[in-house]
Amino acid sequence: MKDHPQNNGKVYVITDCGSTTTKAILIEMVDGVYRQTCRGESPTTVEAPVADVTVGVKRALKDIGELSGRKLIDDSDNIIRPANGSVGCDMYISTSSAGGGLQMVVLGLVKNISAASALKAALGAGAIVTDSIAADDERDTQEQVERLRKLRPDMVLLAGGTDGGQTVGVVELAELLALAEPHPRFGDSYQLPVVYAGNRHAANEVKKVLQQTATVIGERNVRPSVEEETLTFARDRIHTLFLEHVMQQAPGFGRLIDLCDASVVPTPSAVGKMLQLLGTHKQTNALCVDIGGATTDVFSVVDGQFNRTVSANLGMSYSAGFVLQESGIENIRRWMSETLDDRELLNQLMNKTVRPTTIPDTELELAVEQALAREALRLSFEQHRTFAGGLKGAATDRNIDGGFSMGKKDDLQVGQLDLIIGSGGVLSHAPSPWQTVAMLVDSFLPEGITTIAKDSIFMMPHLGVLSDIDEFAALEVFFRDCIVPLAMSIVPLGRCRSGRPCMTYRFVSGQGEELTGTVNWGELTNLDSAKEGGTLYLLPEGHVDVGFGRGQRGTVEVAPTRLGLLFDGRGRPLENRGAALWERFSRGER
Amino acid sequence: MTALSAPTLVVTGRSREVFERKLPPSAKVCVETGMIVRARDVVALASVSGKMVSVAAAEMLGVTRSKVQSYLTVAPGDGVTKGQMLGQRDALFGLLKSRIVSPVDGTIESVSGISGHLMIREISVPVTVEAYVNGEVVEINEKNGVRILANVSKVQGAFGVGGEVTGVMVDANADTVAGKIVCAFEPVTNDALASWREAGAIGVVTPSIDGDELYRFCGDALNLAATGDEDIGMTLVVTEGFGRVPMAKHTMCVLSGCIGQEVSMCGITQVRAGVIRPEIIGPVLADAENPADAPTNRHSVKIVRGRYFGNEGIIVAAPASPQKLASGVEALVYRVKLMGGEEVVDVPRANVV
Repeated sequence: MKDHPQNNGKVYVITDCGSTTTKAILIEMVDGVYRQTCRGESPTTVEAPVADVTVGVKRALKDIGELSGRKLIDDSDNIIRPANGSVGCDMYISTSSAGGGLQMVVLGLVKNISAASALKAALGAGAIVTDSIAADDERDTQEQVERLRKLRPDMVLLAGGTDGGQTVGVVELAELLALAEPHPRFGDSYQLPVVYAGNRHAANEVKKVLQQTATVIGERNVRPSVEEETLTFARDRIHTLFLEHVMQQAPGFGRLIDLCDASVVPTPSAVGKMLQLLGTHKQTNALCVDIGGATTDVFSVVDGQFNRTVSANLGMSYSAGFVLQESGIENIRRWMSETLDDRELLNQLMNKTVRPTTIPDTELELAVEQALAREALRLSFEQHRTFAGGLKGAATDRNIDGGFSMGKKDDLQVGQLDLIIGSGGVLSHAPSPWQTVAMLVDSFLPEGITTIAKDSIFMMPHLGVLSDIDEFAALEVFFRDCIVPLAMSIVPLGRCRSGRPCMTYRFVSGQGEELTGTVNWGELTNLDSAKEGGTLYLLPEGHVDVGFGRGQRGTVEVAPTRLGLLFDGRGRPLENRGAALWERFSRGER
Repeated sequence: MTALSAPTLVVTGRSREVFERKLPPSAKVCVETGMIVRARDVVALASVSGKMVSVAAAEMLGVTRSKVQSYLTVAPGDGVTKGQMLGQRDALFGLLKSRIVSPVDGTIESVSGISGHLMIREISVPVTVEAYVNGEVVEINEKNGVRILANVSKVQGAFGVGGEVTGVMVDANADTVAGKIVCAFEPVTNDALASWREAGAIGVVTPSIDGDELYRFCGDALNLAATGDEDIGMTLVVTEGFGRVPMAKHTMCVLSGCIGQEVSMCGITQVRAGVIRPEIIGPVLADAENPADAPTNRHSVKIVRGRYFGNEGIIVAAPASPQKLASGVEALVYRVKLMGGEEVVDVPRANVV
């Protein structure tokens, strides 16, 4: 159902039931436009003794009631619907990642082909993938069986083989699964759901092999041919099973489904919906990152293609040790202007890991955390770029000599991105917005013209589920209340001599005020006079590319941002890390 | 006064609590409700099912997968020994023979006519579950385990490695440490840990250790977020954290009282999803080792990060609005009077335990 401005005026209440907190927002019309007017929260109640997620939901709604004056829960503990004046709401909807979200295991024949596609489908459906097993991964059969036995997934996605190809391989994978007899996470009272999305000619044999172990649901092959990937059907099937099987087993989720006026959506899937909507309606190539204590989620929509990755071991506290292991201490240190010996830096990072809820007390501790964040974000983005690239193993371009070049198509190109949105404590609560910009720019290394923004309270899940029933309201709130545009980043590319001009600019504000300047190679400069927006004329030197092609001049409309324009002449890859320059910006802002 | 925001680690000379001893599947319980048990008594026996071994039978015999069963001399459920013939195929009128033998002792789990593989489960491994504490068995639940009520002293640490061990606690100057748990009241190094391990110590307690020293001792595979399975030859509990942080006064007091006594300790640490902290469990301490000025009231705190890391103190105020820290971060703080002086400092509430 898609809504239009004419029949608006509805009052929406939306919750996101997280693992620890249930966050509720109220959306209603103010002066003719949809706004998020209030938020409330309450601890999520999936654990004993309450063991009913709707208890936390109603508490969060009561919180909103007290803060906004709009009573949402009546004396019989029911949500008041429809809205009548300043009482009740028209619709209540929700996302959920409570109780561990949707936990899946995927199996595929070839790690970089069917297993990779299965992984994409599961992640795209909002799942936490606890393992991806492929016939050609580094583990032997015994290790794979033992691993499957230990895991207690909510669901399994089994893929492998192209339609019409050999059936033996994928049936062997089914045998492996049958041998392991994995049990579903919530109780043993129902059979584990297995979505089979492999070679369709093997479907009957797979069902036969797994008949004692699991409930097999056949779906279209995620990789009908090596050159083709079809994820939508498997994703939709996973969503349906999530609602019909998994959520019904979790404490109180059956009641939550009954309470809602639309399907409950896994939280990451809702973020994906919002980003896809943005891509479709605004023709924007966007990337959103949510960095947490244990994991970092990266979502992107580029040319209409949505991708999501979860870097399970890259995060700011629980996973700090793993970030350190992956990046090395030197890579973390390079983002800091103050010197700190290796031993002390390591001690700080390890103490953060074992005391994950502590916060930086000193400037040095903050600098360590922000350096760690850059590395976690950089590594997550590397994973995302590779994953979001073209199909691995597919024959792509025919060479001049007529041969096929086998291998991956291009990875996601950062120059394609128009918008980068950051979320998560270290980005959202940085003392200075320049620090947020610095972390995002240093780790994602945008090229050309890119808007850098933050989602201060991570409202994208709420708006994603709202977009299913009212796209207009979702987009309106997204731009007015959800994202905070921080700066527009202009990054010239090419080669220049250090300290020499690489581009000049002319900025004309809305009031007609005109400012001109030169950007030297290696410099990081800003123009805070552009905060209110205006028109920017860019003129590159020589063959430098400022976003319009090599040596091409161009004009860009600048929307209002918190900090104005950022000119990043440090080159790609970075020739100057600019730690001291960033600090100058931050101190100016603070 | 506002409640403390961070979970407090338990340090007490006297506590009465129930310890749950989880049982592996199909364990046989060896105790009865009401029995008095010692820490090293076995409360349950079990066997953990063996690993699965795959044999590519069809491929090795050179037959088609669907016909492999007719060449085998064993069937699912049969017990087999290492080297035992599992199947054979004669070719060229018996002149050429292909044979497959079992690579392990175990039981035939399955034979697949589709993949042509034969799966053997290795024989089960016996495991024992010990009481871990001196106490009384108060409940036996085949599903959840054996519950033991005990009066104990208890110290929870910030971080640990290695599993459960039980032994007499000695200080770092003891003549012999073989089979004992060494309580080093000062920060330790990799060399010290290695020498105690060499001398046969089964556990070490220390206030702190530099991170690089710990990695040298445990190896790079150490996973800080979830420990307990390390094969390092001993158990280590770090009570305060990483660096050169002194042991908190009360922790030192309780552990001093355990010197010469049998204690149990466990290094398992899990910093997310159902936090588990390492612990040392000893006997109840007499009043002399459990002084009245011990920080038993909730206004006493230990600072676990920042400029005052390792200091202890008393909360004297809890401002209601967030304060700006030196880092620029705004956060709710406690006003803490540091122990042993008059200095009062602001400490983020998240940074005290």
